[in-house]
Amino acid sequence: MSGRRKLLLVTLAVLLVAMFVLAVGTGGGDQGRADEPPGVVERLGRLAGGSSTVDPATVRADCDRTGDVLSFVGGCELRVADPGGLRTLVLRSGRAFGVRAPAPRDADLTVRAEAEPSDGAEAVARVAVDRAATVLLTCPGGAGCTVTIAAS
Amino acid sequence: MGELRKPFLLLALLAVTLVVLVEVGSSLLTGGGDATGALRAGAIDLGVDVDAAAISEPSGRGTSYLALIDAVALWTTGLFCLSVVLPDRIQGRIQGVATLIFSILLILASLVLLIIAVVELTIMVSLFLAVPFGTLAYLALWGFFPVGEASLLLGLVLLLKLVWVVLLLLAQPRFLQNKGLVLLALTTLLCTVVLEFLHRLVPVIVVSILDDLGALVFAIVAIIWGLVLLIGSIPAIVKAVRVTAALPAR
Repeated sequence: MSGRRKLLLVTLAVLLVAMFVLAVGTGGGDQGRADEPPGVVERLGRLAGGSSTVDPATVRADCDRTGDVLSFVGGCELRVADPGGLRTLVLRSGRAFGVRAPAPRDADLTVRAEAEPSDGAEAVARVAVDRAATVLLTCPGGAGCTVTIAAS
Repeated sequence: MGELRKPFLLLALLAVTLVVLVEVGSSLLTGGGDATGALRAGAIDLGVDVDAAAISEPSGRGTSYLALIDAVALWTTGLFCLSVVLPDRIQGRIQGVATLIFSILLILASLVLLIIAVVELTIMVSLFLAVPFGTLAYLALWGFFPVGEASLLLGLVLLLKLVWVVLLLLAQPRFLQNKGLVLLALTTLLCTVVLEFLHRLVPVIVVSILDDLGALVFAIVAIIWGLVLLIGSIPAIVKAVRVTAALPAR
C-alpha cells in the first residue's frame, strides 16, 4: 500500500470517528414537548395521510340520543365498534365536557381529558380508537350536556 | 504484498461476526428502563391526566436493521476465509450458487422487514398527531427512546467495523483494489454514523420515528446490496456450469 493511500485511509477513519463524535455532541438531550410536533413529524404525517373519523353509526350510547346528538346529565357511556384501523372519534359540544378513554394500540393506559370551548368555538374532543372501545363522557357541574358525534 | 495473512483474515471475520451479533442483539441490550414519570410529564404538556401501568423505554429498530447490511459484509469476509480452507476448484463451483441463495434470502428478509418498518412508521406518526389520546399512546409505546444506550452500542459497532476494515487490509492490502468491498465498507460505516445523527437531530420523544425511518432506509440499502450480490453471482454460476459440463468430455 502506498503512503498516499495509507494517508487517505487514516483520514477517512478519523473523519468517520469525528462525524460520530459530532453526532453525539449535536443533541442537547432535549426531551421535547408532546403538544409541539417537530416539522419532520408533520411532514411525515402528511405523507401518511392522517387518520379518518369514526362513523357515528358505529357508536352506541347508553344515554338519550337523537340522530348523532347525545343528551345526558352526569355521564354517558359510548361503545365504539372496532373501526378496523386507527380512527378518530370526534365529539363536539357548545359547553365543556370530560372524556375518559383507553389509549389505542397496546398502551396500557387510560386518558382523561377536558374539552372546553375557546374563542367562541365549540369544545372538541378527538379520541383515537383502533379497536372496540368504551368512552366515558362526563358533564361537569351536574348540569345537562349536549354532545354531537361528528363525522368530521 | 502478495501473501494472504490468514490470522488477520480470521480476526476480521471475528470482528464482523461480533458486529452482526451486537446489532441483532441490540433490542435486548437497550431499552426496558422505566419511563412512567416521563409519560406523566408528557400528559401534563397535553393538558390531560393518565392512569398508566409501568411504561418502559423502547429498543428501536435502526441498530438491528444495520445487521441486514452487515450480513453482506459478514458473507463477503466469510467467502474470503473459505478460499483459505477450500481448494480453488471446489470454491469456484459452490461460491456462485451459495451467493445466489444468500442474496435471495437477504432480499426476501429485507423486503419483509421493510414492510414492517413502513407499517410501524405510519402507525407511529398517525398516533403522534392524534392529540391527545393517540399522542399518549405513542409516548407510552415509543416516546422515550434510550438515546444514550443506543449511542454506546453504535459507538461499539463503529469501532468493531473500523477494526474489521483494518484487519482486512492487514490480511491483504490488495483488498483496497476491490471496489465492491470498499463501497460496502463505506456504506456500512456511513449508515452507522447517519443513524447516530438521526438519534440526535430531534427531541427524545420523536427519536423512535427517525430511528424507524433509518431502519427503513437500511432495509432498502440491504435490498440494493442483495441485488448486487445476486447479479454478481450469475457469471460465477455460468462459469461453474461450463466447467462442470466440460469435465466428462475430457
